Amino acid sequence: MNDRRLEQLAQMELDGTSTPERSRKLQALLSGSEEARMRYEEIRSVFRILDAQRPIEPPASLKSNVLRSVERRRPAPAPSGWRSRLATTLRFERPLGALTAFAVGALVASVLTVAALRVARDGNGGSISGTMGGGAGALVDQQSLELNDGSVACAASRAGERVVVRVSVHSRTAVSVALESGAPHVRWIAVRPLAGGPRCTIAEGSVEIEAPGNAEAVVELTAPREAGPLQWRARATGVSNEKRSTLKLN
Amino acid sequence: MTEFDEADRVRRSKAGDAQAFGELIDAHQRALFNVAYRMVGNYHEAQDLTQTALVKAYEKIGGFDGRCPFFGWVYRILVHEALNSIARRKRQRVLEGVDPESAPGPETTFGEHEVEGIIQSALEALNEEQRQVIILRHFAQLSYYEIGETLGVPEKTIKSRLFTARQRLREILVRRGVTTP
Repeated sequence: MNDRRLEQLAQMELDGTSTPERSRKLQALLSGSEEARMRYEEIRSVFRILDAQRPIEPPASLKSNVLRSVERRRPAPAPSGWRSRLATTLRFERPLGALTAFAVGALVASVLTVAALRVARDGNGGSISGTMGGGAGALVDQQSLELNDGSVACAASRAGERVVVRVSVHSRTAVSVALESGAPHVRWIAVRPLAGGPRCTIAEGSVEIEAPGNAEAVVELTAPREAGPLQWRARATGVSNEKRSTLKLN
Repeated sequence: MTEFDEADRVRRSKAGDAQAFGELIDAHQRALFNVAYRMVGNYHEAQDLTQTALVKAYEKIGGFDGRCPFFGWVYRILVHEALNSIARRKRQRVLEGVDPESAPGPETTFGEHEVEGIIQSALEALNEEQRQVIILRHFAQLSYYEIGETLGVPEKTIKSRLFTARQRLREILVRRGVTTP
């Protein structure tokens, strides 16, 4: 028995980051060896001890103590002057010289003009998708659902265990979108609106996006490479039946 | 708190909105406090360190550029404060004629459970990298991705450090009779 291999499989299993394939390999090792089972119990006892140490609640006065202190202080002032503000916006380390600031401004204006022309050429009733980057890693799957007054598209990209799902809503009316995963080891990290002002929330095991019309949002999650697909559904507000689909993560 | 909500609160905090900063405290104080407690092993000292770190974060928030999560940024301030505190404690013990290596483990004013004291001293026996990943994973309950973002290292490195840290912890706990070999 390879000790290191058993230790790796055991730690992943107990940490909740294993995959179905690795769980099967671990079970095969354990069922074949008493020594392996004893070793696994030893590793599990450490996890049990650590997990038994419950998070400690901070003192109730902690927040008020901090706020009392900061009332007497002010954060460092924001940079002043338009060149400093431009440098901060573009994340330059120092304020820009006049010539450099002009050049940067001209470049920004050019990029915005090109982006606007691309949107205008996309004659899809004001679609706002396709001009903003932000996918993580390689594209894995794309699916769309047609609704009465529009459509919803989801695209999943993966880099390592990190998955980014871009949700694009094209609709004249409000739309609700929900993404769910019942698979173990899938963890929702964040959901943020990109455009159109959708309201985004993470609940237990699911993400919900309420879009007032055309909108985009990005959902970040972690999922092992062998995780099953996400279930997702979309419904136009005021319409009782919803459309459902799945989105592969691998 | 979603990334969007957090970015909005950071922006408002930079403008001097103390209420927005209060909401950031609400979101992160539990994890930060648990990190501080596990680093120094003393409830009141952990409170002082967490408060100091948050006040310093407020003062410096104008320089926070959002390239890493807010928690990761405050965490680094907190760790810096905690390490300074630990170093001061060791120097104090030397001045008092106490060998820091043989001194009793950190006092705990919370729980008084014997196993907890052993866990705490076992954490202190790990090196800094190992201790941080154990604290962030098991006590602050961050995901591998979040730990990677906090420490600025790839997930693969986090997994490797956690693997070694847990092995080391097991050796210590077996030696101290908390778990059987």
